[in-house]
Amino acid sequence: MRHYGTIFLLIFLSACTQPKDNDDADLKQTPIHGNTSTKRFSFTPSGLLSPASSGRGRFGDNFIYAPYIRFPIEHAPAYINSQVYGIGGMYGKAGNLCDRRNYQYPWHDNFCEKRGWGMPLCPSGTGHQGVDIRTATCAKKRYYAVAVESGRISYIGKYTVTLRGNSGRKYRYLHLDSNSLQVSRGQRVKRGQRIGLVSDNMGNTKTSIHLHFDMKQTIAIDGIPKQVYVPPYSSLVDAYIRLLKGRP
Amino acid sequence: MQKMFIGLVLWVVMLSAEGGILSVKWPKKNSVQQKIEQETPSALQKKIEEVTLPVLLPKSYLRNQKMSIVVEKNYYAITIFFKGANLMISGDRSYQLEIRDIDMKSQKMLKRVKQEFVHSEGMIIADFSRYGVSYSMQVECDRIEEDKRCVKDEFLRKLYRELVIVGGKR
Ligand SMILES: [Zn+2]
Repeated sequence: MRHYGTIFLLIFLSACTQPKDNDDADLKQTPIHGNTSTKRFSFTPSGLLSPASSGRGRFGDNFIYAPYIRFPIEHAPAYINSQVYGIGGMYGKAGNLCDRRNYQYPWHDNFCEKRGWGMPLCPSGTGHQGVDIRTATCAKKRYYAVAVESGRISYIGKYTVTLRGNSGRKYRYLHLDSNSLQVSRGQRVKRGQRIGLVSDNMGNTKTSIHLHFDMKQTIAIDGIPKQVYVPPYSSLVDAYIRLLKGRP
Repeated sequence: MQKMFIGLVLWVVMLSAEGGILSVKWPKKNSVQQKIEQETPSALQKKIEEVTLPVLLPKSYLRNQKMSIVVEKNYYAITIFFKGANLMISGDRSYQLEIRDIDMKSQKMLKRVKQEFVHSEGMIIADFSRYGVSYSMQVECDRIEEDKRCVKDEFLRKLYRELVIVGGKR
C-alpha cells in the first residue's frame, strides 16, 4: 500500500519540485562553493556499484525510504562515490585522493560496497551500511553537513553524530570535525540546520575527507520490530535534485 | 495551485499512513525487578520517568556519574562515557515501515535476521527487540584498531547480558 504512497509522493515531487527535464538540474543554477564545475548532474542507477568488483548492490531498488529529506551537505556540488575503490583508495587505482576524477558526476551507489559488516538488505549479507559523500572539493573542514530532517541529536561520539529525526529514523553522520560541531547532545535541530564540517575524523585512524551517511529505520515484522540500515541512495538523489533547483 | 494542493494533501495522507508506534509488552514486576528499581539512583529515575517504554541499562553502570540522557516520550538514548570509549544505548517505540511495504525479496532477507553484534565503521553495534520495541547498543572508541572494546565483541556482549530495566512509564 505504501508503495502507492511513494508513487504519489514522486508524482507530487515531480509536479512541485523536480525539473520537467532532468537536464534542467544544472549546477549553474545553484549556489556553488569552491568547485566551479558546470557539468550536469547525473547518476548511475541505485544498486549498480562502480567498479563492479566493489560488490553487488540492490539493483532496481528505487524505493525512497526517507521521503523528502534535505540533502545532508549544505551546498552542491557533492559527489556520492566510493572512497575505498575510488582513485587513491585502498582498492582503487593508484593516485591522489584529491584527484579531480573523484570529484565529478555521475554518482555511484555504494551502500552494499564490500565490507565485513552485517547488512541484512545486501545480497551478500554484508556491506557498507551507508554511502560516502565527497564535498565540492577536497578541502578539509570547509563544507557543512546539515540536518536531513528536524529532530534531535541523540548521540555525539568520537567521530559520530546521530540525529534521530521526528520520523524516528536515525541518521548517522561520520567523520565530521569534532571542533566544528554546531550541535550538542540532546539538542533539537531543524531540517537544514548546520551540524558540523566534513573532515577525515575517525579517532586515531586515517580515513579520507568525506561524509559517511547512513539511515537506520525500524521495520515492523508481524509486530516485532527490526532495525536495519536502509538504502539511502534514491532518497539522496531526490534530495539533491531539489537542492540543485534551490528548493532543498 | 490546485495541483500543488492535491499533491500536498496526498503527501500528508501518505506520511500519516507511514509507520507508527509499537505496543510495549511490559514484563511483570517481580522481586528482582523491584530491587533493581530501588538501586537505581532517584536522579536517573526522575530523568526517565516520562519514557513510555522499558529503559534498559547494564546493571553495573546504574550508578555511573558520567552519563548523558536524551529522552522523549517514545524514545531514549543514554551515553555512558568511559576512558577512551563511549557506550550508547537507546530504545524506541517508533517504526517507519511494515514488512508488507517492502518487496518480497527484502522481506525474506529481513526475516532471516537474527540478533547479532555487527561491526560498523570502527564501532560494534547490537540491535535487538525486546518487550515489543527496538533497542540499540553501540560502543565507539578513540583508538578503533587497538582498543579491544571496539575490536572484539566481548565487551559489548558482557554489557548486553547485564541489561536490566531501570525505569519507564508503564
Ligand atoms: Zn562509509
